[in-house]
Amino acid sequence: MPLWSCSDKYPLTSWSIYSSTTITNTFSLSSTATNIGLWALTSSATITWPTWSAQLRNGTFYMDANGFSGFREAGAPAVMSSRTRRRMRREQRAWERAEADRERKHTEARAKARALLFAGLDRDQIESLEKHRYFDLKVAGRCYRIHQGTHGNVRLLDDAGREVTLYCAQPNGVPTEDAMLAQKLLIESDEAAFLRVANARTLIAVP
Amino acid sequence: MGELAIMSDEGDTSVKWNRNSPPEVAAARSTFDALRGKGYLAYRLVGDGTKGEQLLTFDPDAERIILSPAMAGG
Repeated sequence: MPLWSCSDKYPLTSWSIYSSTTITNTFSLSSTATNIGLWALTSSATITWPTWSAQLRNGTFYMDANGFSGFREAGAPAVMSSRTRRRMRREQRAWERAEADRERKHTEARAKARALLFAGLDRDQIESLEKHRYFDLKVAGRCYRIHQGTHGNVRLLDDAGREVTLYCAQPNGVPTEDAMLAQKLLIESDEAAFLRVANARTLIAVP
Repeated sequence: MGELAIMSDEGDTSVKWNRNSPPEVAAARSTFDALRGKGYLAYRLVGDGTKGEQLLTFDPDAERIILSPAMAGG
C-alpha cells in the first residue's frame, strides 16, 4: 500500500499529501522549488522535515514539468496523478507514432535503394544476391565479392574462389543496398581509388 | 529525360531534366556541381546498363547519373 499519493485537482504550486488513510499534511513548493527539487519543499504542519527527509530517502520522489508529481515508498507500487498518467499516455502515443513513421521511412528507403542496386546489376548478380546474399564483380582479372552489408562486406577472391582479403569502405548515411551499389561502382570504375580508401585485412595469406 | 539519382538516408532522391529545356538542364547541372563540391562521386551506367563509369562533369545526355556520398574507410 503506497504511503503517499497526490492529487492534481489542487493548484500546481500546492498539493495535498495523503497517507493511505488520512490527510496528514499540506505542503507547498516554494518559488525556488523547481530549481532545487525536494529540498525546497516547505512544511506548514505536523510532519517535520527530518521525518520527511528520512522517508523520502527510502522512496522515489517524482518531479515533472509542473513540480511535485508523486512519491513512492521503496517497494510500494507507483502511484501517479491522473495528470501524469495522461501525460505519459500522450508521450507513449507520440513515441509509437514516431517509431512507426521511422520504420515506414526506413522500409521505403530500403525499397528504393534495392531498386537502384538491381538497376546496376546484371541478371547473374541479381540471382546471386537473392540466393546467396552476395554478388561477384570481375575487374581486370580479379574477382571481388560484395556481401549484403555496409562494413567489411567486400572481399577479394583468389583463383580458387576463397575470400583472401576483406575490404572496408563505404559511403556513410545511406541504406545498405545503396552502399553496396556505391562499392560496386567505385571498384569497377576506379579500383585504385577504392583500394586507397579501404581498410584491408588479410583473411587467407596467399603465398 | 535525364535523371540524377542522389543517394541519401531516405534512399535515392531524383532530380530529372528534359534535355530540350535549358533551365532544367541548368538546374540539374547546378545540383550535380554542388554535390560534387561536397565530395559526392558521380557515375553513369554504360554498356548494357550495369557497368559504372565515373563522371567528373555533368553530362546532360546521360539517362541516369548516380551520385554517391564519398567513400570512407571503415
